Formats: sequence, C-alpha cells, structure tokens
Amino acid sequence: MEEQQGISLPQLTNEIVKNARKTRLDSFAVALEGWRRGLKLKWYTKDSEHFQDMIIFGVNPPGRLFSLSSEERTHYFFRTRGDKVQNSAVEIGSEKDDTKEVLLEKGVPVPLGKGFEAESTDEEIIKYSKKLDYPLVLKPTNASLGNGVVTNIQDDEGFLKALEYVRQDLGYGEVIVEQFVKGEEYRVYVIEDEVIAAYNRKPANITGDGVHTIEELIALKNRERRKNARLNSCLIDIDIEVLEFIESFGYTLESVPAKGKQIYLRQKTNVSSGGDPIDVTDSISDEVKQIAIDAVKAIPGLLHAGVDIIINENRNIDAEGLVIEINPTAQIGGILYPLEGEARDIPKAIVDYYFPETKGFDTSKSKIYFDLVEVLEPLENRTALEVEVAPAPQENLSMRKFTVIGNVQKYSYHQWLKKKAFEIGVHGSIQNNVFDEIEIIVAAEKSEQLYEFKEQIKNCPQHATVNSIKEEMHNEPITIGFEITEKFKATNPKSVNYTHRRMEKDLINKERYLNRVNKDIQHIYNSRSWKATEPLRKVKDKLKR
Amino acid sequence: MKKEYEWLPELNGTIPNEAFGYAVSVYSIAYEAWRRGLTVSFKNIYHRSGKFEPRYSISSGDNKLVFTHTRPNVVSKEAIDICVNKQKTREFLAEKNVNVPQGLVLSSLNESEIKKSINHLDFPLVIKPLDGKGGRGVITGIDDFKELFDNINYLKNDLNINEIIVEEYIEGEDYRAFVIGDKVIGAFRRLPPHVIGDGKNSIKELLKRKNQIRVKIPGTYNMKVTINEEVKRELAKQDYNINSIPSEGEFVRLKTKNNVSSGGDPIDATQELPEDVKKDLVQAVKSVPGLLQGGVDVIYDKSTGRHAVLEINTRPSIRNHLYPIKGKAHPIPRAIIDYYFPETTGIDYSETTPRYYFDYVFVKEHILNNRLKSFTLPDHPYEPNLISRKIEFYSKQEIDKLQKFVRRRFHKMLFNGELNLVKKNRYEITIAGNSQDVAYFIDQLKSKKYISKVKESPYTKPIRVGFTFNDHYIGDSKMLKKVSQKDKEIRKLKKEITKMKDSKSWKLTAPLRKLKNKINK
Repeated sequence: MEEQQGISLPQLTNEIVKNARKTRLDSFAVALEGWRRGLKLKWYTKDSEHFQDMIIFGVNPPGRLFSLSSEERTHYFFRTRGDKVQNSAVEIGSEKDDTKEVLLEKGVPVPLGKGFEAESTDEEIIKYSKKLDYPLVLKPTNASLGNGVVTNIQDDEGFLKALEYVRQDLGYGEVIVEQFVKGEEYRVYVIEDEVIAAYNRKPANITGDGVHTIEELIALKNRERRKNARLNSCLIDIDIEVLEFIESFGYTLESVPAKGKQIYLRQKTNVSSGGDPIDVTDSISDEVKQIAIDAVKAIPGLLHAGVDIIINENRNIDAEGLVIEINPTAQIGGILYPLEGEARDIPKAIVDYYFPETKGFDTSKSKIYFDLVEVLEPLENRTALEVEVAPAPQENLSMRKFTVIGNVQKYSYHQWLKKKAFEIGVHGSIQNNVFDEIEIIVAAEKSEQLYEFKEQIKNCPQHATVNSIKEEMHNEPITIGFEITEKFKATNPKSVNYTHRRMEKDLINKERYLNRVNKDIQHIYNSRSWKATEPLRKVKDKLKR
Repeated sequence: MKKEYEWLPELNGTIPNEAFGYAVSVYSIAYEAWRRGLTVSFKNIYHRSGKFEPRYSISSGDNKLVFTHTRPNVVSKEAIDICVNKQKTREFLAEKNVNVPQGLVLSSLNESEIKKSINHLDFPLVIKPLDGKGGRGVITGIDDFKELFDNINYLKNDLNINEIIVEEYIEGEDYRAFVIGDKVIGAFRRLPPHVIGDGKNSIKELLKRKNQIRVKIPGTYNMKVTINEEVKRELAKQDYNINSIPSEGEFVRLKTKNNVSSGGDPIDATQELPEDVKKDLVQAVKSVPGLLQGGVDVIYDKSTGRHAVLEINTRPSIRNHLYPIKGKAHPIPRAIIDYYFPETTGIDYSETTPRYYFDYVFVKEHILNNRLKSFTLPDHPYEPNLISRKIEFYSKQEIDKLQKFVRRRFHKMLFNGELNLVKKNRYEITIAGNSQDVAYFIDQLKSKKYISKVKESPYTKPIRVGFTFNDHYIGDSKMLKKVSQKDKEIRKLKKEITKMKDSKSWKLTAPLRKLKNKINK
C-alpha cells in the first residue's frame, strides 16, 4: 500500500510530539506555540484552584490544563479551549439538543429533530419519529466522540433496532432523533469571524489491491496510521460495527477487494474511530464557511470552536450545509496531521487570538521544545500541584553536535560540563556512546556561546582527558535544559528500561570489542616474528627461574 | 555507642535523601511551612557563577515570602549590605553597644601607613577580607608586625584581596547562634575532626566507622573525613599514626581546622552561653536595621566571661543546629515560621494525620536540569480518617501493568505512598489515605486473579506525598555484572597486548614486520 501522508507543520515534527497523545496533543500544540513565543507556561493538576470555575473533563492523567501568561495577563486553557470561552457556551455546546435549539433560533441551518429526556418512553420517541422523513439519525444527547450514534436509519424496523441499541444496550436514556443528512462531513475551526481550518473526515476505509483481504488491508492501513502523530492513537478497530457494516455491503473480513476499490468500514466519520482527516480549507465554499462562523456567533460567549457541518446533498433543507455539532473543546490533531492536504496552524491562531501582541512571532523554524512527559512527571505522580516550564530561548538557535573521544565517560566530567553549560547559558545533552566516546549536543542563542562551550570541553578537569573533538552541524529538534542521559535511576522505571536497553547494547559492543582484541592477540601469536622468537622467550623464562 | 544527641522528632524520616547535605536547611524550613498547611513552591535561580540555588516561596493567602536559602525577602537589602561588609557590621553593632573587637579597614597597604593606623591595637591581631565568605582569608593569632605584613602580602598577592580588616584577637571559642526576633533559638560550636578511642580499634578503623555514621546524618551527609597529609601530620604531632590504637575515651584530633564541611562536628552549645551574651546576640541583630534574623558568630571565653560578636550571616545554614553530634537540636524552622506566619503557630497537621513528607528529587532533577522554572507542592493532606498501611503481595503480572493499575487507584482515591518491587514478583505498597478507601483498595487487590498473598499491616513511618514506584529489585544486576566482567577481560587483554608489544622479541622483530607490510603492499 502506498504511503499516504499530508504535509504537517515543520515546527511540530513527529519527534517533537511523540509523547503527546490524543487530547494531550491538542494541549501540547497550543502550549508549545505560546511557550515558543516567550509566554510563561504552567501546567496544572485538576486540584489547582485556577480551574475550579472552568468546565473541564477527562483531565487525568495531567497534560490538559495549562496557562500562558505575558507580563500583563494570564489565560487558562483546557486543551484548545481558553478562558475567553464562557462556561454557558460550553454547556450549550455539550448538549446537542441545546446547541440545535439555539442555532435554530438564530437562523443557522440544522437538521430537524428533537431531544428526549431519560424519562421519555420509547413510544413517545417513535411517535415523534413518524413526523420526520427517513433517513433518520438516533444519538445520545451528551456523548462525545461519536459513541452510540446510529446513522442512516431507513425504516421503522431499523429505528426500533437503533432505539433498543442506544437506550437499552448502551444505556443512554437521553437521546436525539433527527433527520439524517447525507453528504460530506466537515470539521470547521472558527475563531470569531475567521475560518482557520476545515477538514473532511472520511469514515474508516481501506482501498483494495486485489491481493490482500480486508482484514490484512486494515492491518496495513493501521501500520500507516501509526506513523502519523495524530492517528497512531486512533487505529481502526475491527469491532462488531465494522463487521456488520461491511456485511451490509456483502463483504467479510476474508474478502479480497479489487484493486482501487475503496471500501468504507463504518458510517461514523470520527478520526478517533478510524476516520481519515483530509484538509479542505481551501476548497470548501464561502457559504459553508459563513454557516460555521454564524454558528459560533449564535452561541453567546463561545468565540472559538470546532463546528461540524454536513454538506447538504439531498437538499431537503434549503442550505449549503447543516450544522450538526459544535465542539467548544475541539480536537485539532486531525488538521495538524492530515492524511491529505496541508496542515493548518490552529495553535498559532489560538495564541494570536489570546495574545495578539505576540502576533507575527514566527515559530515555524523553531527547533526547541520540552519533553512533555518529563515536565508532567511531578504532576502525574502528584508530587506537585503545578509546574512552570523553564522559559524558551527566544533567539534562533545555533546547534552543534560534538563527538568527544578520550577518557570522557566519567559522570563527574559530565556534571562539570553541565555546570559550564548553565554558566554559558546553552541547552543540550550529553550521552555516552560506546567505549571512550561521548556525544554532546549544544544549542545556543549566540554563536560565541558555542565556541565558549567548545573551549570548555577541552578545558576538562583532571579526571578526564580529551583526545579529539569532532564538530558537526545539528539540525534535530532539541529539548530545553541540559541533560545527562546515562545515570541509572532506580526510582524511575523509564530510566531503568532505558538503561537496560543501553546496557544490552553496550554488552554487544563490548563483546565485539573483546573479539577484536582477542583477534589482535591471536594475530600476534600467529605472526611469524612472534613464533620465530619463541625459543628466545623460553630461554628468558628459564633464566628468570 | 551511647546516643549523645537528641534531634527533632518531626524531621525523623521526613527528609528525603535528595535533600541531605546543604539542602537540609531549605528542606526543613519548607517542610515546617508545608505541614502547617501553607503553600510552598520552588523556583530555580541561576547565578552567573553557575551555582544552582532554589528559591522557594511560602504563602498563606496574601502573605507571601520568598526565601533564599534561610533568608526571606523581608530582610532588607540595606541589612544584607551591612552584614556583607564586616566593618559596617562592626560600626552598626558598636553604635548599639554590642561587644565587638576593636578594628579597622586598612586604607593603605603601605607598611608605615599600616603601623600608624593600627597603633591603638595590641597584638595578637586578626586580619580578614572586608567582605569575605566563610573562613577564606581569615588569619588569626598574628603576634608581630613581620607576621602581620607577611600575611597582608599573602592576602594581597595570593588571594587577590585588597580590602583588608585588622582587628584585635579575642581569646575564646567560636560559637554560631541563630537569632530571630527577640530570641536566641540555638547555638552550636564545632569540634575539630576527631575520633574517640575505644582501646580496641585503630584510628583508621575508628574513622571508617565514624564516616559510616556521618554519611547517614542529613547534616553531614557526603562529608567524610579522608586520611590525607594534613591528618597524618596532625597525628604525628600527637605521636600517633593511622594504625595506632588510642585508649578508651581518648579524644584524638585529626585536623586543626574545625569547619563542619572538612569533617568538624557540630555540638549543641545553647546552654553554654550565659544570658548576657544571649542578650547581646539579640541586640546585635536588632542593631542592623531591617535584619530580623541572622546567624551570629560570637567568640566567648568561659574563663573570663568575655565575648565579642564577629559577624552576622543573613542566610546561615541551619543544618548544624539540626544535627549536632552531641546535645539537643533546636527547632529553628519552627521559630522561623512562627515568626513570619504567627497565625500558624502550634499547628501541625500530622497530629491527626499520618506523617507525610514531600519529594525533593524534582527540585534536584527538573529544576537543576533547567527543565522547569518552578513547581508548587500539593497541599499537605488534611482530612479526618486518614490512615497509613503497609500492604505486601505477590504477583507475576508485568511490572508496567501492575504499576499502572496501582497508580490509577492512587489517583482516583487520592492516596499517597509508594509501590516497591522488593524481590522478583514480590511487592510492597506503603499507602496513606482515607481508611474506607484503603480498605476498599485492599479488597480490590485481593480480588485480582494475578495478585496473591495479600498481607496488610500497620505502617507508622512517614509517607511521601504522591505516587512513587521504586524498583528495589535490581533484576539487571546480572547484566551489570556481565558488562563489568567484559570490561575486566578487555583490560586484561589490553595489558597482555602492551606487554607483548613491549617485549624485546616483538621489538626486535619490528623491522621484519615493516618489511613484510611493504611486501604485502
């Protein structure tokens, strides 16, 4: 299967976001953007007083609550949603029924439908469903991520089945019945009067190659998704829904679809259930964009949100598109890492919006980041209530990799170098390579600092000797601070694992080296001159005795 | 050995290893504030000198103090400037009739000028730098002008010190007292590095044992006395060498210098100072406007009763007060928090909760690596029905999964404590939390198929807040051994090669090999 990847943002490489999964990716992308611009970044646990008045959910483990501050002010964020968004707007947005009511009132096109309380009987719901034309959708009132949404219900029998599934099997009492609108579905991200990004979400799908079975094709597709920073946590699961869905088209997992034949695996388009994000920002019509903007405007105090719009194909309602959902805490991973098209910089737009004075600060070339897992560790272990990330260097970084050979593997030498790094004000890391070699990566705001540090490497104290320094350009992203990555920390399981792996490597290398030395010795033993001089040595030994 | 000291019970087991040594002062004050329910956060500050120093803030509502080591930011800048300058200190103290040695700053280093300016002082004299720190450049017991000029030249030329104080030498012992407000909270003096004989063991052995104890004491952690030339000289003076066996109870001095970092031992001396001296110490701190607190260096001679205040340190280390090897520790942290947060006096959350303490590894790791700029401690747990327990169990479950399972429960039920892998498949949990929740958690453990032999017992040691996983079982020790064994083999072989290469027969045949190489080419 050919590789299919869109263009992602240069400042958010897979390496940088590798520890930010799912909704943490949203937070991390926004936080990183603000931090790189020189704003103060703090992370919090849910126990922090700053979030007592904000609607938050699913905040454990930490990494979803943070604040950015300039000299003048601080804004608090829950994922992509900042404190400009009012709680009342979040409440309206999280209840699909309320959303629709408000939108209808303000003249924003929505599919017709109605919500039902948990107390409502199935009969009431069925009775209402008769008023609407099929196809219909039945979904829980307040479930996110598309759980329990049954679409494209064609007839009374299907409706009864769906009703039982959602209300009995899944236990969602409160449900919405509405017209099913067929058409492409877009997630449009709006900040006030502007559409920042739009992406289309194709349901989970595979394309046949005439060789592999559907099951194998899904596995292949998942392999591709693993490479994508956003999608690697949203693989396609083969569940009962998929089985039933493909069955309805006459396939089984063992079917081998023809080459080029695209097969959808579900109705649901959510990225988290295997859907494909595709950038469509430049191709959607202005009418659709306007509908999205109107929808955000319709809800007082919302200001920025993701709007789910369905393109109205069957035109039973007179509008270009219909708003089906509004997400005040929208996930943006899909549009940061689309499978097709170009990534759109929503984090930039959000930070511009909250801190307009930092607008124009270009972070696209930034190579500096912080290790999210390391930074959040005190919060994760609940040994801290809040942490502030050390400030990001503001200048463009010059980076070098120094490979230093000599008696340089002593920890005390590395610590000494680290002290020097802080004195000079550079970032970087020291890593032990095999034998007598270390690798030092240094990033500095001014090139003089690099030279100064290089001088210091040679200027080592007595307990180390440097034989040679190799200097290379370095262009990989680097984390803030200065780290020595060799010390075995028994309290940290990651470090234990890491050290274990390193030791295994070391062992292999040492074995190789041992063999080499052994060979050298053999070489000497076998050399003619050694053999020839054998009698001499024997005589010498005898003499010694 | 009889225990001759009495340390603070609240610090027993609540100071994590990472905070041992110099950091004890910081940790103990932060800890005192924290266990009273105050909010504590740490910040990193780098000096140009590359020295790392945490700042920490303690706050209660709007009242927020930022501490540098042991000094809060309410101590005025002017007061600090005065204390740094030893001559100014003398002047301010003398002004308020505090006993100080006579002395002056040399305005010129010209010999005749010096003679003129100090003619009102009698030998013996002391010289020291105007703004020195610690004992650097302090030379005492100067008996004549020659010695004086020699030492002034030494300071000037070798130590590059140009502002020099000359003052009269006062007979007596050096004491360091901690003063805050109207009180002397504690005072200690130092014994020079020494061992005490038992009539059986050699000095070498006695010192080894002493060092073993020293490294376990938070205050003297990592400050071993090593046998060096200085020690050998000192022993020789007393007709000993390192293998001599001193008689029981005999005090054998190892070095002349007695600062604690080079192996001296602090002993509590609060009772040795009479009331009038203590009054003068309090007065000394009061004499400097805006000072509020300080570590006051005083010389006191028991036989004559004479004393003189030498200098005041605005951010003294308090670890010697907390860990004397003889006598009683004095609760300096308590006095500091009482003074600045009087509304919290007498509050101690751990009276009704299990004893908690907080982690310091993050100050060391995250702040030291310049990854974090600051972090705030979680509040000291405080609610009814908190208990602590030890739970032991056996499980073959993967460590990562087990850890995740336990961690999740800890998060959910707001437990604090540790999961320890003790031996292969053997675990131990120390836990503090709501008694019902803990019981429920234990039931949950028991109900898991992959967990067996769950044993519960009371636990009274302090509990670290948050969740920590410790791998005490070094499963990788085999790997370590293998690696070091390979290292050894390589070293051996390398030696063999050099030996061979150095051997005459190899050297003799060198031309032959060269020839061969040429032919091969």
